[in-house]
Amino acid sequence: MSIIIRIPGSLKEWLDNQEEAVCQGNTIQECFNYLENNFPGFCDRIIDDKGEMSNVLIFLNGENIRNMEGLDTKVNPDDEIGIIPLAAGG
Amino acid sequence: MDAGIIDTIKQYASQKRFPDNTLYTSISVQNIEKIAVNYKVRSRDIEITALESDIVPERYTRNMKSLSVTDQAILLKSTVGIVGLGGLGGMATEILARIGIGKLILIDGDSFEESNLNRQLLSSHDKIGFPKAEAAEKRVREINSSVETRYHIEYLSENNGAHLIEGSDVIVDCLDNLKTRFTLEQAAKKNKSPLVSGAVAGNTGQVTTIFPEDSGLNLIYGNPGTLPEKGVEATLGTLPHAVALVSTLECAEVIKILLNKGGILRNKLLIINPFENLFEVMELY
Repeated sequence: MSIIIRIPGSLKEWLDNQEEAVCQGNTIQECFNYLENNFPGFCDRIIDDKGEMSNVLIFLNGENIRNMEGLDTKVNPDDEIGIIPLAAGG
Repeated sequence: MDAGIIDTIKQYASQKRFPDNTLYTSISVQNIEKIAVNYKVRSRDIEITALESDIVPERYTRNMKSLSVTDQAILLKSTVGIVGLGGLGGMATEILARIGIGKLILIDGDSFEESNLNRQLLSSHDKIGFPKAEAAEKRVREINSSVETRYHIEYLSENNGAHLIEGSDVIVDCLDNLKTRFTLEQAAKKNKSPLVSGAVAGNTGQVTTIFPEDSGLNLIYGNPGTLPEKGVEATLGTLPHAVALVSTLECAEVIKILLNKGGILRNKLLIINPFENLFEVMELY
């Protein structure tokens, strides 16, 4: 099944200078694994050594996946995963 | 207001022209302060009375006609709490004092250090070690003598939050860590005040507005229990143009809320990145 992933221009190097890519999988983690095969290093940018999403906010159709099942959140065809930097500075 | 005060305001008022050549009635800062001293009344009350008589305090003439005299009087009657007086909060203090918010509550327990100089408007070489809240209060007095201030050299916490922001019609979140942002949100909800929240990391920033009944920060960041204290700014730094832009957008939200005008970013996250010319509004669910 095809899932769209969108990232802001500031992170486009993660997807070989694209802001959007198509991925496949039944969960967010599987989608990221798919992207890792096409864009090596993708998962390392999102998930730290402890398996935490430390530097990014990940949304599935606008809902933060921390409020769902995290990386195990199930996805459906045509869902959209959005990633933005976790900004907290002032 | 005493009829004598209104007559005195009218006596001191004079006819002037806007740049588009239309006429308006003006009163100078000096005369407002003179009347305030003579009648032992706050100068912001003199300004409000002048505006209600269609007389524009000269310091607000360039707010007209984007704002009406009624709008300007509403702003002067309003109280805004600014929590965090570093990059975002310093700029917010500047903008909100200049546009004529009647009272600012300024909260920060921190003092300036050299690493603040790249982005914090209120910082300068001679203010290293100086309390940020005190610097903000001093700056407001320099900019707009009609704006009242209450400042607290204190960090906001669960214990003091609701007390510190008490009386705010709107609160601006200009903090630099996630834990205190969630604490402030709880305090704002307790006070039934809308909260405008902005954050920056590197070239990227974001702004949202949270009303007391909204889910708020949880929609953006998720469950706070699992979050780190800092975001990616710990790695990317905090750049001045992104800080100024996010702060400006926060102030625009404050003004829109107070005047009930424009499109408020409620349940929406405006994401900006000036390096990528990015302005994107994301719906939050």
